[in-house]
Amino acid sequence: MIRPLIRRLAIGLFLLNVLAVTWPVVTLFRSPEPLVFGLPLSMAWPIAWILFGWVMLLVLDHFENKD
Amino acid sequence: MDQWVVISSMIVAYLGLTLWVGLRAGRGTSSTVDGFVAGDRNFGFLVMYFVTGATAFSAFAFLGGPGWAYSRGAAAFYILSYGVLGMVPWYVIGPKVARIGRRLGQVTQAQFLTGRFRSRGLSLAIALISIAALIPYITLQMRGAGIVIEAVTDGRVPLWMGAATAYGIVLVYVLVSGVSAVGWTNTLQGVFMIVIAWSLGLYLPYALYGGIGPMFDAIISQRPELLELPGLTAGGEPWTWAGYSSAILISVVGLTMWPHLFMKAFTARDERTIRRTVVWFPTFHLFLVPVFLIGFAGVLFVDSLAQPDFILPHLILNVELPVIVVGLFCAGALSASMSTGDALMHATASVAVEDGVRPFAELDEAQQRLLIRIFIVVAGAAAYFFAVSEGISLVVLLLTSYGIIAQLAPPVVAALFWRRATTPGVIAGLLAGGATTLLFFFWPALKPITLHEGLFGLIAHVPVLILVSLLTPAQDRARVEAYVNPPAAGRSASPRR
Repeated sequence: MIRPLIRRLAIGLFLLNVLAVTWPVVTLFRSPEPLVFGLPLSMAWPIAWILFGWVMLLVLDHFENKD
Repeated sequence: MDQWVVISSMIVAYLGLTLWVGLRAGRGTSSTVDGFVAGDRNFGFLVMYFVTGATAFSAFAFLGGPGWAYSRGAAAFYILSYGVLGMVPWYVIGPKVARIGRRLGQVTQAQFLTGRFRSRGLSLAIALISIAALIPYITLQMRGAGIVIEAVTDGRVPLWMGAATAYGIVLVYVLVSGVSAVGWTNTLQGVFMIVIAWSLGLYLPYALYGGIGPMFDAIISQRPELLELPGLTAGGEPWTWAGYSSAILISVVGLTMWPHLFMKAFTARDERTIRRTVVWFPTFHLFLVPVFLIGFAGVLFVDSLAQPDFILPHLILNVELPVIVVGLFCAGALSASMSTGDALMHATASVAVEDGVRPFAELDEAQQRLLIRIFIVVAGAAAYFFAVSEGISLVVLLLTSYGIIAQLAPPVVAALFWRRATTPGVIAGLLAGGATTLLFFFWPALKPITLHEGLFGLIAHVPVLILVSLLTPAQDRARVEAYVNPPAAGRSASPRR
């Protein structure tokens, strides 16, 4: 029952990811300041999405593999 | 002992190790086309992880990445933005392609597409597109290897000789062991790349600025425009948002359509392996973070370098690093170059023979393997010729080929998910998309907005594919179902060959 929900969640998250790293949403994160863990905000933002994507893939794969 | 002697010895040791691994890899693989091109479909998770990662990150990433960060600043972050998004569709498409390929005995992308959309012309067209896109890519890898060796030996080993040595070794192991050599050497090279990139990426900011935070503070105070999105163009002007965003989108669509990556679906042991490779790909992608840190470390230390691609060798040689670090860096850069180059040469030759020649001529197994080996030498020689000739703008060619390669995405998606797609529809779509991409590439002034030309290609491609498909008779049901709804693994028919 939970698998279709997770699939929809994954599709939603990756669509959100596309929006987050392209114009116009990314303009909110265009500035180098503040530094996040020593990295400029403009660099930390796409890195954060790599991490979100990775966690989402781990969750998705966990449920896809449950049989 | 002179520094260059120590470094050269390390390079020789590294190349020797790669050759040894590459030659050993072929043992236990069958001497069939399936064995040579698809590794008997027996690559496990570890090898697939490194093949995917190391193939995706080429000399362009290892040398070009720091160069972009150094000269174009935040523009480089587009590369961070597209990697995971580009790989995610593969979680769905990859296993399906692998399942169909296993059942129908396919080893290349064109075989996969023409299995549903039967046309020898289509097969030839895909072969030509692939080769035209792959050769400049191989050339870049060779130049990368040559540049590194020339730089660290103070010019004692010139570019032509360095490239010839590194790629002579690639040639030997690919000829002997086929794709198994690509798999195992990429595992070795992938480990090298990751370890070296992270060590240098963390070490250099500390050595030069006292830390990563202090480094960016210093850059912000002196060059604040560099770190603000969307960064700069190659000429130092601010990049446009349309350019930045469309570069991400076209790369997302095109990434897994590159023949040398797509074909690796046919090498995986099972569907689970492909899914796990996608799930763990982000950990490989993070390798770009230290690569960019290396480039940023150069910003306040190196005054405008004529060729930003040399930033990494330049920094390494001018910051008084221990000689062993320099040697390791070379091994890392050579790893990046060779791990992509070997897969590219192998893919180019396989595509040329399987898709360009075989639909038109009867060949037995032995002839096919011989011909693939001959084409590997030809592809290598052609790329080498361009690599040592000056004045050919390869980066431009490579960026354009991304637009062309992305045109393979609609047919692949249509083959797998759209029952009503037809052969004339796919051919018309490819023609429309390819022509539009080339039109805006050669006459950029015609673009209504500064989007990547490949995106305009897709905008023309998709409606034509749909419209022409709907206007032509539907395909027969069995062929469509074999693609849209392939039977699960385990019920596979015997391979075609």
